[in-house]
Amino acid sequence: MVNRWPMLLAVAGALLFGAWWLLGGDGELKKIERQSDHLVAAMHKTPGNGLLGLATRASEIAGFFSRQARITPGEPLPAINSREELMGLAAHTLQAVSTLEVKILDRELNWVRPNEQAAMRLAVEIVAQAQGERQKLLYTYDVTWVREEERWVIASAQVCESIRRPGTSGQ
Amino acid sequence: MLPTWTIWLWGRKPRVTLLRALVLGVLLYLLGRFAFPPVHVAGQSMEPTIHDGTWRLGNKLKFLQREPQRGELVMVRMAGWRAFYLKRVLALPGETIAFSKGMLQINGRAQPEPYLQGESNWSLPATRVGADEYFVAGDNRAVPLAAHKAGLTRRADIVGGLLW
Repeated sequence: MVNRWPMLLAVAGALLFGAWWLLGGDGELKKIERQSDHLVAAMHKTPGNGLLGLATRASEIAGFFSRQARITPGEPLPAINSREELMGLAAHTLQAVSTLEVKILDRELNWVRPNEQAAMRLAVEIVAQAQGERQKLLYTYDVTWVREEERWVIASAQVCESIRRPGTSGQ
Repeated sequence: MLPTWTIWLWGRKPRVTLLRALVLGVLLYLLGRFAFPPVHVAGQSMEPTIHDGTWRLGNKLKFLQREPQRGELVMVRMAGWRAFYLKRVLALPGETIAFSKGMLQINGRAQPEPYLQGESNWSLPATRVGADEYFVAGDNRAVPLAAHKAGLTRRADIVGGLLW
């Protein structure tokens, strides 16, 4: 009787390896994905957050960006050219809304320079409530991640829409 | 001799059953990932044609051999491969599109839209669609154009249509 277990285990191992590879097995890319998850979580606001808590939160959000980060967040927010500007905008935005929820709908992440720079296309849904009005917005961003002091941070982010209104530049 | 419940669950040859299950799982994943992704509709931009919260089956093979045509539903890439915009093609490459009091005009001529229901007051000055672009929009024209995700999209960002 032929022992088929080694063959079956080899096939199962190959399938599992393929699944791991397809689902993104690179450790550093996974770290960048987790950073983007943490950034999105830091943006959440629920009713009852005090001013001190919001200031801390704004500082925490700014910490995900490099010192000279350049960000084009999309209308109606202005372009940002440094981490300090971002912190101010984040604090202002968190104060202006009563609730804020950001959800990652999809993302694509690739190396530009392996282990040094990565490019991410990120689609997010932002649900904000302010002055009794609830708004849901969809944005897609091109985000550049770089390694700074052993942490992955955002060097630049700009709106990049696959469906753009006539008269605007989506990329 | 295997217990009855084991035979019922795994069949008479559990190793073969396991291998078949693994192969089937991988095949289903590849089919769903690269050919026919299940699509959960979130949003009202395609009402009443496609309802919010319903499930459909995408078809990434639909436009591999031909170009999208006016009136066809298309999936437009957002970022990766999991989320898409679901829109309808209104204008083709090289055409001029306009809206006047909700009426679609292509190259200066009124274009009937039999799939629409309800009133629309969309207004858009004549806009030329680029050589590698399409103009897409949802069917829910009750939403003002400014609040609706509609406009020009590159051919490369149209990744498929719907199977049903």
